[in-house]
Amino acid sequence: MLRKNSRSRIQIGGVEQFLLDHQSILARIARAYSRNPDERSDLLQEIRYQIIKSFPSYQPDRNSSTWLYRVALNCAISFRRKADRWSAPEMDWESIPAPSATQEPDPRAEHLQRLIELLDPLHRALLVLYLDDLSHAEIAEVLGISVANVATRLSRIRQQLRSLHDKEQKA
Amino acid sequence: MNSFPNELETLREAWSHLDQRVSEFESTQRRAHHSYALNIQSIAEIIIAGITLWLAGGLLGSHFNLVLSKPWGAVPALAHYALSIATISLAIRRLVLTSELKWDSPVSEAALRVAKLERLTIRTTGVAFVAGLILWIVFPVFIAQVLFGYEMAFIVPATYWILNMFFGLVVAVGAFLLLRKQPAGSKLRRGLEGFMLGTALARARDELQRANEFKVVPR
Repeated sequence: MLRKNSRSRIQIGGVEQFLLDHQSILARIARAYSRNPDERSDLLQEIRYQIIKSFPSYQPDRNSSTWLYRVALNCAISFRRKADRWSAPEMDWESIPAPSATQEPDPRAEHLQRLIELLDPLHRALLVLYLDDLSHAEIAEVLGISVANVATRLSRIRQQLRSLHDKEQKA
Repeated sequence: MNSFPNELETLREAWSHLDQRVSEFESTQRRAHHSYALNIQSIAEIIIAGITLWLAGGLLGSHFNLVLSKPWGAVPALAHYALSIATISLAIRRLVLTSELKWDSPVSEAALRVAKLERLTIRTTGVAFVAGLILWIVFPVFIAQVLFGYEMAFIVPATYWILNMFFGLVVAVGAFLLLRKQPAGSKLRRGLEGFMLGTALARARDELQRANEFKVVPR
């Protein structure tokens, strides 16, 4: 019993540190899957909860970021599907919050956010991993698809983003 | 933004900027998660359907001779019996799909399971809604039969059936009016439309197909 308790304590301490070490990744994933601040807060809590719950299956000797990305992205995709269960969100680009006055406004960030929201959840995951600087092989491992598939789909996303940009410019 | 960045690499800086903005939300209040909600719902459905199954089976079994001589009286119990079996099998299927969902599995595999779960949930809710409208008419009769005997089905006047069917119609018209009163962009209106027009189920099927196709290199 004592051994079990002390192991749990080590594990709880370990997962807290793990969450602290990777909080910026979790924040970016939450941002990619939810525009609404309250909903995003819920999503972050959900992701943290799933990480804590899945932590016993975490093997420190293996690539920690692969494990983290899988849990966080799976949770975010599930959350997004639940939130959009009865109605797909309307693409209201105007409702994206403007940068606050205390921050440097970055039009590219706004643009990127809009583009991300136009992708389906799986392609969003692909783009998030790419933007987080993971190699094609690492992306393939997280997503469970081939490296060739990753390369082809990234190329398609580039084309899609370009055509969306052209449409915006015309409008 | 006047020129489109030719490569996604140029958007990485913007991506890190989003990260800074998101960190502002880190301190927002903690909320209760709802991960167990689906499991609890499924277990509750199994328990309620199990009780109904037992009551319907008991009623039919204890009045077997009457069921054979006056089969129309068995309709309420048979309707509940069939619905209970369907509810139990769907709830078990949902529990199995939920238990198969491993959060640290590759994203494409987990997405496929999530899509299957979504399709099942939407389909189950649709069936439950339609069955609910029908059973609204037979439920009180079934309860009366359980409490006071099989013959209760035959003392219900025709006006009872007509009034209850009328009530179902009123509910449907009310839902339609509620739908029209909502602004076009409202979540309630889109949700009702998604449910009533079947677009939610169609979208769930599309998601499942997309998740299936994601593993294959696109042509």
